[in-house]
Amino acid sequence: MQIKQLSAVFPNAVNSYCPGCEHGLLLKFIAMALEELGITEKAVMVGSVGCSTLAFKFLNIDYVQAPHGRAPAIMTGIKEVEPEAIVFAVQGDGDALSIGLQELIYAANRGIPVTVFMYNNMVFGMTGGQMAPTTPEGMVTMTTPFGRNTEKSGPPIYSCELLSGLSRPSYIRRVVIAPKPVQLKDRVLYSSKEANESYKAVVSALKTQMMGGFSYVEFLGTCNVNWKMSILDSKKYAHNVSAKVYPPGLFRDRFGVDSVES
Amino acid sequence: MYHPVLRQKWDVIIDADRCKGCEICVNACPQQNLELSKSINGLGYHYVEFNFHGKRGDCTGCNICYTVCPDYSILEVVSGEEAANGS
Amino acid sequence: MRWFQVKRLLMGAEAIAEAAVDAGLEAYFGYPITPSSEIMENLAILHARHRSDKFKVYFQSASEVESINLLMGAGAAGHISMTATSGPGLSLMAEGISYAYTSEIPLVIIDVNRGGPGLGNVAPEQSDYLFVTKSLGHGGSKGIVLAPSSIQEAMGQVRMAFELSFKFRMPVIILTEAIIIHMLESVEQDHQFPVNVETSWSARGRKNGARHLINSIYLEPSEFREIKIKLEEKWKAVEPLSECFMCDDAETLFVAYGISARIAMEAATDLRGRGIKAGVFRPITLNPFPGKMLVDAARNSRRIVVIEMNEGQMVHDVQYWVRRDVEQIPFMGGIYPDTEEVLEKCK
Ligand SMILES: Cc1ncc(C[n+]2csc(CCOP(=O)(O)OP(=O)(O)O)c2C)c(N)n1
Ligand code: SF4
Ligand code: SF4
Ligand code: SF4
Repeated sequence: MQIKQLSAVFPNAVNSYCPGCEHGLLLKFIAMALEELGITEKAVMVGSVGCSTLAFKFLNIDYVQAPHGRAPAIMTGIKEVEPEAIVFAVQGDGDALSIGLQELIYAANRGIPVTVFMYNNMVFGMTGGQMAPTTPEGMVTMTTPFGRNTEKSGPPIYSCELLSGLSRPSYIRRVVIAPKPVQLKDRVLYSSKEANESYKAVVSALKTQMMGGFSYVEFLGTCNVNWKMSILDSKKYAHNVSAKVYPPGLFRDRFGVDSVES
Repeated sequence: MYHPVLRQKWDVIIDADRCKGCEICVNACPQQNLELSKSINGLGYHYVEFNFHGKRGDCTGCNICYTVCPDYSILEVVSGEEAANGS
Repeated sequence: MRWFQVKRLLMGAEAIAEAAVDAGLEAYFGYPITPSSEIMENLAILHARHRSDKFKVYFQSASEVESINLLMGAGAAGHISMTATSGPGLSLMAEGISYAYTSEIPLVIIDVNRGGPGLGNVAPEQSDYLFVTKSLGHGGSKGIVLAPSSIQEAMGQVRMAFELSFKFRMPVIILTEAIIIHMLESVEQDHQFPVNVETSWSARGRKNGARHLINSIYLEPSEFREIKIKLEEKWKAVEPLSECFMCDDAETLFVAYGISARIAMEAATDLRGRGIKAGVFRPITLNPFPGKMLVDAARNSRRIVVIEMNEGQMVHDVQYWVRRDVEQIPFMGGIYPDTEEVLEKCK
């Protein structure tokens, strides 16, 4: 029997993520969306620095490695000279909002038709769980051993709200990508609603790019390893804390791609 | 390592070499058709195995396990007839 | 393959902009900084006037950090891209240059050197020499460095930079000074065909073939060693270039590049008139440094005098190659080299 496999994924490639991390889910959704929209052959992924850096070992598409935080600038460079290409990046919250905020804001403000998938795990994952710009008040990280004190470090940065202040971005959305654990009588059941929503957001973002707009999706995911939690607890935390601090929602959909789809 | 068993109405095609044993699919399957193996795969994880007759009933082909697996270890949920025709 | 040539009186910045467009520039990204801004301004005009079909993208960036990454994006997609900046901007680009070197991305940067360190001043210096030749980014990254000593030569070097950057797939820096950018000279403008570059490796989408990977991360040391060996071999194939001006019998040999070399040539001619056998060795590529050529040129000389517009930077390279006492006449802070002063010291 012929097993259908996503053409944007290398057969037998294993992604580089920790077990249970939604970074992998996001890559899979991207591969699925590229296939669904028939754009795998003209896709160029720009790699950011963070846990998504090694995505090129998993995804079988053109790939350009950016320095830490600079992916939006590299994407702009590619898109300017190759308007036909579908250009996107997966950036971490540290990459996009700490070191690379300027690059992100400029790409968004110019409305460059590229897509940023921002994976918000509220810490620096790759470097071992230090405070990120998105770390909520009181959260313990490696560099905030007694909890983040927003008195000094300032409150977390709300990227979707920030970008909504600009007129040019065409699609801005925040979704929870971590499956929601529902306590049943005898066991925990993970809901698949979040995954379906996230997949839709990936498709909509890429569609927006194809229609000529800048798209940005923030995914509230987990980092069970650096949160020092079990996989189940990390999912609970994502829903009980992350999703409360960062309310999911559709902030902008200029071309109405979300409504067309449903 | 694929397991196209194809004896049932639905079959879940698992690439056990990619599985990291995170149990997300296990806990997401409404029928509890999936469970972790006793043995381990090349990555050192107990991988997922599919049993059509789950703890709560037969696989319904709902595709949830495919959707939630972060490691693309569940490659496809196929209907048995479809697969049989294709083979 | 020249099809026509015209003689024009051009300002350096204008000439460089024209030459870049003639040579097939496809994308310009830049952030204004004195004394390089005139290059950008001239390109803005050429772009707005659709001087060339190839010159599609002209873009003012938000910072030099963004500039270098925009260049990297365009370069990774296989398009001829260029920026012009000055020391403070080049410092910000060091990060990207380092990534571009390992990722083998072609790009061209014109560094119009100003007085430094720090904000310094906007007068001409050559104080970026060590930076561009020795430490262009972290991890031992480098780029080919060309130094023109006239506007005419600068025009040729722009074309050469495009060719070299694609041939070797690495950053190419043209190190020049405000004098060249701002002076007027009569030049011959060759309207040649744009350079032809090979782009089958570039990332534009896999287009039903194998995918293209532009990457600088190799976590496996053995793999990275192979990559570095490959990069080093590629580097060794880059040919150094130099010019000898009355070197053969020179007893006093000036070593100078860029605009300093022109002053040195003037001084050498003057000294010859006074019966002192003087000559000038002018490195055209500062990296790779034409060391063997220098040794050859210096074989008859008794005195080697390095003239630079900095506190003494190239002098280390000269010393390393000739392995004997080297004198230097430094001009610092944005002071033009003064022929009289040179003559005074060399009488
Ligand atoms: C210029 C620079 N500074 C610092 C680093 C180290 N570094 C690598 S990844 C990273 C943070 C990544 O965090 P995030 O963007 O949130 O991504 P995640 O790993 O959590 O997905 C840092 C600080 C670097 N690679 N480059
Ligand atoms: S470190 Fe955290 S974010 Fe990175 S792969 Fe592991 S769990 Fe995911
Ligand atoms: S398809 Fe649905 S019922 Fe079948 S194993 Fe997967 S989740 Fe369970
Ligand atoms: S979700 Fe995927 S990786 Fe996790 S246990 Fe199931 S098959 Fe394995």
